[in-house]
Amino acid sequence: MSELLALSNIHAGYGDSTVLQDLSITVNTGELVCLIGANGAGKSTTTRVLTGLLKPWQGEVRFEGSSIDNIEAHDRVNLGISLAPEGRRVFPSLSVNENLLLGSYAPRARSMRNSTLSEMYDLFPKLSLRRNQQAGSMSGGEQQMLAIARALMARPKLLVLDEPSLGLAPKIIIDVYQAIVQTAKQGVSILFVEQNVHAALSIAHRGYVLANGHITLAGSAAELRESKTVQESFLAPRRKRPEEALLGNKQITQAHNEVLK
Amino acid sequence: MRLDSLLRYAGFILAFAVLAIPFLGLPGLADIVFRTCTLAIIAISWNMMAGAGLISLGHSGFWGIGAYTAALCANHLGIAFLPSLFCGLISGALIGVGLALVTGRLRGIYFAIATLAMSEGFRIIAIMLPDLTGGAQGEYLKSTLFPGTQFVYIVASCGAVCAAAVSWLVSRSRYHYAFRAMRANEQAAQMVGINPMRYRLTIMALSGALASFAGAINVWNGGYLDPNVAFNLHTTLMAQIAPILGGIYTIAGPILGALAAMGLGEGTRLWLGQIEGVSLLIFGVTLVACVLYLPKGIYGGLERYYASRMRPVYGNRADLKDPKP
Repeated sequence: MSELLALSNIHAGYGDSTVLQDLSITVNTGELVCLIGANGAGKSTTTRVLTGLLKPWQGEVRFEGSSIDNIEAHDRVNLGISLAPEGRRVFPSLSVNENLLLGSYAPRARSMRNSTLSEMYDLFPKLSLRRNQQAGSMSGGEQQMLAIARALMARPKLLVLDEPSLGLAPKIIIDVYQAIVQTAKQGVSILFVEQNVHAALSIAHRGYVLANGHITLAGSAAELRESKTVQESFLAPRRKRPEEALLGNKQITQAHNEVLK
Repeated sequence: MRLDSLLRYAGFILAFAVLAIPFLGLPGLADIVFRTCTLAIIAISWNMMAGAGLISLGHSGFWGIGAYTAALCANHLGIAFLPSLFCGLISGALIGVGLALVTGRLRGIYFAIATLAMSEGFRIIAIMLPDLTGGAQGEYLKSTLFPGTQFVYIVASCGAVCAAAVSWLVSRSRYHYAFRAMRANEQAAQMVGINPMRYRLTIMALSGALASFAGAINVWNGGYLDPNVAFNLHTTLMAQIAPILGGIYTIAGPILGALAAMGLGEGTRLWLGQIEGVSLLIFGVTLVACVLYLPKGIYGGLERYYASRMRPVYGNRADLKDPKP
């Protein structure tokens, strides 16, 4: 597997306060990687650095082997990095269809707009029922699907998802996660940021644990789930298996197993 | 007929009327139409910037720069009426570009304050440079270059129609989506590949050019200019009252608003002008009432009226409950 994205020795922050200290992450082509950590660990800052919304103080961001430090955020979309931002941030006054069309604003995606659009409606049938509805009037789960679909409209090589499960009901989380797994199957590399550790590790191939601005642990999803650090810091002792305890059913585990096959 | 197509026909008739009135030889009416036209132009200009999420409190800055450029070009360089308007328009576009570069990523109230400061800054500069601008004493336009009132009115009418056409063209282009996305969330817009600075430059140059054109033609009508007339807060306020009254973020809004504001202002002045202050009181109270009862402006009110009238009729409820076999 070849390296698609690499953040090496990133230091970044806001004003006087340092958030990321010597952070290094790689995502290989075709991988589904999760970045987990508690509130304030620097997860969102990481996504802001790699999409170009925040300039790091030190360190390098490489994409497909070359440095992209000097490339502005809006041009990175055209390189093939696409973000579905935290808290969804769809354009509330635009319709679902208009939101999706805006997703293909970058020249790279524009020529394939119509075919991508119908693919998105196949991938998210719920959205196709609401094409002309104002995005702001939809439920949180639907808005999250729209945010993911809008990011995919740019035909990304790397899709970055910032807390896709934030504020959603467990049932809806399953839908969103199935969509993520589906997307990964189509060959898009995905980096997603989560607080929801059980859910994240159930679908990811690999994971990084972020604490206080640097990576404290890295490994395959299975390794992380078994690791003591993760269990102690994130997983309170539970009677049921972690996925079941959180989600109340086995669908995500099944989805995870499908990916592993 | 749908509201939008109705308004389109009304727009064509209005454009025709506005273009025809200066030829009728009714000075009183032509003057009111002239002032409505300049108000409509600056309202359209303000609404364009608002549509991209840039709320301006400095439109009198553009207006005044246009007015001074036209007046100084005419007086010092002997440039004729139409070319001087063009100079005013270009200067406004340049100021728009400069403001976009200086304000960078400022948004919301911070951007608004920056524009307010710009306009005040220009006013003070105009007072401090008496050799160039005539300072606080003001400047009279050379009467030898004056092309005649009727011609000024005709050009103003054409300008207003062009401004409306420009705002319509922008709303038909794909830039329109970029502006709406920037208004909703500039960072999210950037994440779909929209370069916010590029669109800010474009819209502020366009908006600045329109507002300066209105200022430039206004000085040719009045013939006199001083810093407090050119950079008057009243201009800034009217530039946003009209679109808000008519319907912000719409094409018809600023035009409807300019008509309504001018009609209201002139009406109260004519009928209640004898008693000091009453006309302004009525004007203010009406504005407050409009904001309370027509939160989306006149356009929003029309839309609501149309929606209620066009609702499909299913017959009475008794039939629905007990269908006859």
